[in-house]
Amino acid sequence: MNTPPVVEVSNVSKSYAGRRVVDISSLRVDAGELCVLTGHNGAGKTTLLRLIAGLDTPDAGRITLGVARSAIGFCFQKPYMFRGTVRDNIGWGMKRKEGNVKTAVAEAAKQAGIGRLLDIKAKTLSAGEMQKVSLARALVRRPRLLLLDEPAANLDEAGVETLECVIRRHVAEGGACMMATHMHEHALRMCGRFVRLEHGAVAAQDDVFNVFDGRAETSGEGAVITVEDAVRIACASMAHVGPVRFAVAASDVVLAASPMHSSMRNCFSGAVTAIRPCGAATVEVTVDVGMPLRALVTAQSAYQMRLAPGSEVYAAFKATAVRVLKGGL
Amino acid sequence: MTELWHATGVSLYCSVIATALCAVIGIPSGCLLAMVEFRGKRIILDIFNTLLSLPTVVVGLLVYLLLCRRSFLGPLGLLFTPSAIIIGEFMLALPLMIVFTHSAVAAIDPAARETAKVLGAGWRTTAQMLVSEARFGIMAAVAAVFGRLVGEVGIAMMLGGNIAGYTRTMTTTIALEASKGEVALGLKLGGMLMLIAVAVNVIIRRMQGGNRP
Repeated sequence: MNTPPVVEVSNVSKSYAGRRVVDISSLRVDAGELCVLTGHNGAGKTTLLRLIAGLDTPDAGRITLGVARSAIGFCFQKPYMFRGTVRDNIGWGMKRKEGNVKTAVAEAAKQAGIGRLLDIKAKTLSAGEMQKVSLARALVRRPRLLLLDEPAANLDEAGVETLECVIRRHVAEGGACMMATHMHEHALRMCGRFVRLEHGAVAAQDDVFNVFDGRAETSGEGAVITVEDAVRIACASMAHVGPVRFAVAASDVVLAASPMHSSMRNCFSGAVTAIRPCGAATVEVTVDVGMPLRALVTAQSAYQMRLAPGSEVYAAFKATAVRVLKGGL
Repeated sequence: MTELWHATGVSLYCSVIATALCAVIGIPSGCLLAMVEFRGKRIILDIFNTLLSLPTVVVGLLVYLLLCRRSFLGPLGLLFTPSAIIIGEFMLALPLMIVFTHSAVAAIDPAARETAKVLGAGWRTTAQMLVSEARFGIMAAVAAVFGRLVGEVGIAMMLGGNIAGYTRTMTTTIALEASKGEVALGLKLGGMLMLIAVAVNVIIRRMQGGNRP
């Protein structure tokens, strides 16, 4: 947390025609972080991204960027294709002095999964292909902050997987990414930090998801997912049997110093492996319960429980907190 | 027959040059008006829109006053020359070119400019992109201006003086011949005008079709 944030939003508000669409007191995104913006239509996700990109000006407040504007890559929900081929569009506006444009364009197109479309007229592409071009157009400039507005809205499954790979790679390389999406499952798979907006304000933030692969089966104890042949996770219901990917919100995981006698069907003991600050007053605690399970607790709770790496704790969550992701593996 | 070709030549010469001048001044102006927001922009657009409905004889009269011997431009001796016709036609058609270009550029999806902005484009690159994206509308503006000028009669009559073999255009020849009761040459010139209009439309259509999308 000592490194300056890539994006810091402080007391920012924006209204259109008298209707307040963004009203955020505090939000920050660090390098190497994926921030997933969720919320209903009109919650302010797109406007927030536009404000950060400098496409709109806030009525009040301040947005501080830790990167230059030229290091921002923006993908619109409905991308605009310029006249010319896909190649022209990806390299649009790039100066020859910016290295070998042709190679960079080809590489970005390959990353976005449109390497074979380079010589096609961009305006003739399908909506999904245009989104891929838009992504490649952002990537070719090697952005340090990626702002994606519903990037998977028109993509097929293969396209979504490619997008996820691109985002994971970008974040792993130390880039920051903010993505507005309605596709929770797709966002969950990328283990980002979730920020839910409601009426322009942050309704919930710092929700981190644990995402695991396992094998679903139905036994006498109901629907169960076995992870790494060792940990058995009880879940509310299961549509199918076999390989499955599932998520548990870190905020749904409860930590205790002693075994819990509660309605929570999933209770494990394990040692704390890592503690890191997450948000203004919360910390993310990783507990090894046979799989790395992350829990969000307030800094105050962590202090009172004297949590430290190596501490033995109990981690529990409800079966209804298990979200099975469509399709599995 | 010589009169027919000569009148056609004068008409084409004046209208092509006036259209080119209108394009050089009007396209960047229309583009700029669409790109830049400033106070009084609406008033400027209203003025140009009003000028569209100005009768050609009024434009002709204003330019006449500007070029006549007693005017400060009088010593240039431009009145009753093809240059006078070109200046008049330019004044007449410039608002048309500006308004049409502005409409074509303003009609482009705002996402085009926003995309250019997030890609770090400067105003010059953005302007080039807008002209490129609005090219069909701008081509239509050029065609409309040329069509208006090649069939223009009031300015050619007032500023050209209808001098045979020098400033007599197709339209002024038709008017003169009709007043004399000689309709044969007038009909031939009318046919020629129609042919030019068809040719211009075909060229524009082909340019648009060949470049899509």
